[in-house]
Amino acid sequence: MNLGKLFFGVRNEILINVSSEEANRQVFIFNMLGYMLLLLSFSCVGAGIIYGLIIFNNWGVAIFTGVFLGFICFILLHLLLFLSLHTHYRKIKDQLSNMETLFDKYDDVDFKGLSDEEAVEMVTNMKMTLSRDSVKSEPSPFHFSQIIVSAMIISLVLLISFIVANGYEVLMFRSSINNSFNEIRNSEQLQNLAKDYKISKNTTNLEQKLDAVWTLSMLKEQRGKEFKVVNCYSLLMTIDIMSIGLGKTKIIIDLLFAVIFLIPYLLVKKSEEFSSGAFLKESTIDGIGTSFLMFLLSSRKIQQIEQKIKTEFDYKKALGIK
Amino acid sequence: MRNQKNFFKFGNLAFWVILVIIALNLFPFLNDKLYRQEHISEWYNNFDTTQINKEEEDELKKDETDTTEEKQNDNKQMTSFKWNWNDYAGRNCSVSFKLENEEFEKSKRYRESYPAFFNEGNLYSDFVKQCDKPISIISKALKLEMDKRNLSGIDRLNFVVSAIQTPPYTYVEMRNCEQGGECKPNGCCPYVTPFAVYTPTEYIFQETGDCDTKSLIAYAILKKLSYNVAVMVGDTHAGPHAMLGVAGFSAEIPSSFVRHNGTIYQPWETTNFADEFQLGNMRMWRSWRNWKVVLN
Repeated sequence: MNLGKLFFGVRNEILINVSSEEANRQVFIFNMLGYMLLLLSFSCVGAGIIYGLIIFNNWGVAIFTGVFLGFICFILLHLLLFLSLHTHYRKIKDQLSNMETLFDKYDDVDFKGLSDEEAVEMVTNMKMTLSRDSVKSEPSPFHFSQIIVSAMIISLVLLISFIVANGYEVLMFRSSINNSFNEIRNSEQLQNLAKDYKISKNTTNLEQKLDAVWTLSMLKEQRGKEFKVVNCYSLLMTIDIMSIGLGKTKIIIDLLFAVIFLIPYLLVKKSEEFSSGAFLKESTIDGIGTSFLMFLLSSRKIQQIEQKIKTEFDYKKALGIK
Repeated sequence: MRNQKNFFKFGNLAFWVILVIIALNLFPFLNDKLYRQEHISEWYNNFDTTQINKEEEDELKKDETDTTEEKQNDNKQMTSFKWNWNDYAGRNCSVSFKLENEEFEKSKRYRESYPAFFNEGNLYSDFVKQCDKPISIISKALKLEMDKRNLSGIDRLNFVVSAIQTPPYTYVEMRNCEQGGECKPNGCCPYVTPFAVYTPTEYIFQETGDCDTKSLIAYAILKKLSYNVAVMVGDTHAGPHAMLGVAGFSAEIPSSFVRHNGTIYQPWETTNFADEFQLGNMRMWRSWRNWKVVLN
């Protein structure tokens, strides 16, 4: 399945002016990027299902939660990747960001007799000229906003990665976490505190007694709300107990998740195969070509209408002069 | 170009390798060593119970003082009990004992304020502990009577269990009694919380008990007399049910049994006194499923 085409629009007709070797390479790298994006989105679906099962204890709601979270993550990651895709070809990049410079050159040209074929030929010639351009830009001068934008993107990616990491850690260590919950449920300290809260009217140590009652109530399975993943109704308590049980191992696993979520962003941002690659260059030229073609066709129509008004419209009659 | 390709190559490789490492951790035999169970005790050890223990000690001291004062007090409120029944050998049996009225109030208060989130096993065990004093008195009285009659082996068990079986069955409900009737033997007791079970002391004073109330008092007395007994719960065709389990004795009428931690417990229906309600017989139930020991 060509996910590069589905997610990033890597179509063969865009790469028609590129050597087949380079075209294949571009298709491959965008395809791999597509697989990474899809896999990360599916991992978000999985994590969402796990969270849904812990919070709602219902498969239907959990699947809905998973699909919802996966959809949001897909849109966000897709957007972040697109925001980071920039071509390094200076002239083309400048052209796309300011098309007026190109249109100004044709201010006084008469397009009234321009045929569709001639317009397409003009666009093709322009695209050929741009395609031959191989001047890449120097690295952009430093600006503080770059740090803020990058920090925001990385923070968002890390946030998603930690959400997914916690979900999968719960799944990975669920049997050990359940053993911990059994131990907590049977601990004398909690049982005594809870009993004392219910039986005695003494308010000494009330906060801990309330904590103990709440903890035991979270660990007691209710009829019709059977435990699905872990034997606890509280997500935060599950994560807290898991963090204690895992210790520093949790940081390592969290980091592994953070790395796999950051790799696609780093590849797009830092790999020359993306920024100096043929696909970004050609799709930019394609964009310029489309805008230019629309400019030519609309200019022709405007000039034709102006001409028609000048020659065919009787102003005297409109003003009532005989 | 080579460097450009290498960056993508290594980035791509790192992504899939890390993904495989994470996926491998989904196998329990690989991730078990990463989780430290011993750290969890630190978490619940943060709950401070020293204050409670101190309160309990104070309460105990207060109880001891109260007991001494009560002993000196001749106006202590007591109730005399005399149970009469027949055992399976058809012998007339009888036992007499006295209990302080306050024990009934204490037990009732304890049950009514018992936290509903504990499971049945904890509840039964706590009820038995709470009723230790009345259970000791009644056990002593029964033992004296059995010794006087030179009973041994299964006859001693029959003597105790038939005493519990004889009072008529009473419905004990957590909600209203749909079948009607008053809260007295052969009737129905509404709104008994939690879990619709009376403490052994309440049973002694009221003689109102259903399957679990009767099984629990039989268990408490026999346990006090050093028998290996259990409270068992499970399902019959009529719904959830509880009964007494006895280990170390052959069934009088063999049918079903429950194995718990390598010990075989013969079931004993305590709700009624009749010939077919002897140790081991469960043929009165068309189905007998999911039976387990909840207290032993």
